[in-house]
Amino acid sequence: MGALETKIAVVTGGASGIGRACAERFAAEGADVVVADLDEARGAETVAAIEGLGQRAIFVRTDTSTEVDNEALADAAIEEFGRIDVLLAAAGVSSGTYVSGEVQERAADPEANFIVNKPIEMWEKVLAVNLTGVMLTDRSIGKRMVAAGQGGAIVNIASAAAVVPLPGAADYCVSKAGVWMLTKALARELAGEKIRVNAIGPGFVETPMTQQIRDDEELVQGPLAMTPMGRFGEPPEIAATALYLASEESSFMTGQILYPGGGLFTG
Amino acid sequence: MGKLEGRVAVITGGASGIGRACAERFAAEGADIVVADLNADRGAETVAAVEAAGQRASFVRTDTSKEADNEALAAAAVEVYGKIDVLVAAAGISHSGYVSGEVGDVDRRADPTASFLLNKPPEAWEKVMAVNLTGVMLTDRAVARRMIAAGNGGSIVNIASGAAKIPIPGAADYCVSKTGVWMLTKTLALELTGHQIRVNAIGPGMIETPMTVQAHSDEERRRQIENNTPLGRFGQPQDIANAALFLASDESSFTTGQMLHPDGGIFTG
Repeated sequence: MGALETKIAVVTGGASGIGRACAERFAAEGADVVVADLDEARGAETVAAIEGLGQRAIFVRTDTSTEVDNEALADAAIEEFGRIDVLLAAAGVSSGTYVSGEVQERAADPEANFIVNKPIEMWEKVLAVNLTGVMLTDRSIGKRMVAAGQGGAIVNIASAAAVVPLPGAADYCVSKAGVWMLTKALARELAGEKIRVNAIGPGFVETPMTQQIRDDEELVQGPLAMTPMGRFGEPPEIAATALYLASEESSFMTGQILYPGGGLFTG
Repeated sequence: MGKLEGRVAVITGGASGIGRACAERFAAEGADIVVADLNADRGAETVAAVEAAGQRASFVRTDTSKEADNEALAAAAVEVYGKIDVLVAAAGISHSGYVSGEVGDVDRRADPTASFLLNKPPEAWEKVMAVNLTGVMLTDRAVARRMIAAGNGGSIVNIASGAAKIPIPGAADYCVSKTGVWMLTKTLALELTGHQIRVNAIGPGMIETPMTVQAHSDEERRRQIENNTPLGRFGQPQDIANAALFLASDESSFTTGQMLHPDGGIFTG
């Protein structure tokens, strides 16, 4: 008996990295999954993986930074599966030039991304996807959960960078700090509806987003030195945390953030 | 297949409340359990419940505020089961008069200021620190030494409290002791990462246990607490056992030095 038997989960950023790991773990625990992402080809791989586990899945191409796409995503989920029990909002970008699931090139000059040098458009792009995007997804799904009256669980993927500043990634850090406060505020607003809202603040995890760092012998030393456990996390480790927050196992928890980060941040 | 199949767990405060709920949940997930407590009668009940779930269990009478008792507990666990994989340090008291699993003898309603710092006898403060803070340190230490010697890693879960972060007038000793447990957890986590031993804490909110019986059995106080809890209810020991299972199992394999707050949304950092 899986921990999410008969549940319907929407997973944004579900085509790769943490989102895909969550989609697969949720399916392994008995959930049907709506996979949302910009990347259709990789999204289809996630759908196939879920179907391989014997669960139902659909892909909905979604730019989570636009309200209309989030509304269409929530509508599609309801139309296909009748309701939404769980939202995992994992769609996010590491920088203004990040493309879903693709490995980025190393910046020629690290200080080019410092606040004093960063193009304002880059900052705005990161906030649009990582912060406003999560708010819009939470809101679209939250509205349907409220209307259905059956409660639910929302899990936002923030980052340890919500509380640990990283030079050259101010936009990313600020967007994730915003997701953490959004999570707390929304948890209060939705507690009366039996909708729990929690966040995860992963440390450095082996995803396409961090591949460029991991492939660079010099660059990789920074994250390893910051992580007491001395290694990168694996996407299934974040998915196990997400499962805990998505399932009834955490039924008395709301407005919290969990940090599977190898001890990177301890509060 | 349970999440703790083949594991051995030591649980202090295992005779009642959160400790017992952890023992029962862990047993249901396949663990053998060493139940440590001052209360032998209630401890035997927990042992019986674990055995009924098909797992092995032993009771070791333990005053967790004493180093000798903690060492004897760890030694007994290794002697009977050969190893220790998981520790839940749940032994704790709400005030100096608290007796394991019994209704507390202090009723704050009579005179709420009687337990304010200005009026509290230092001995009362010292008792709470000895059990809740130094006691947890001593248990963590005794068990961690065995985990290091065995070389197979492990998971330590300390039961702190939401009071580690939220001050409660009249319960300064309790709050300070729990804050100490939280910092102990973080420090120990950093000291033990090299041994693949994870150390985490849980900061429960208001849970229906013997410790909170004065609050949950009084209709007016109960309603007040429910109204102050976003999810609108008291927690059940099972809620905390579920959090403890997550931290004790490999589900949290990249998580160390953290505190989870299953508290109905009272504290949000």
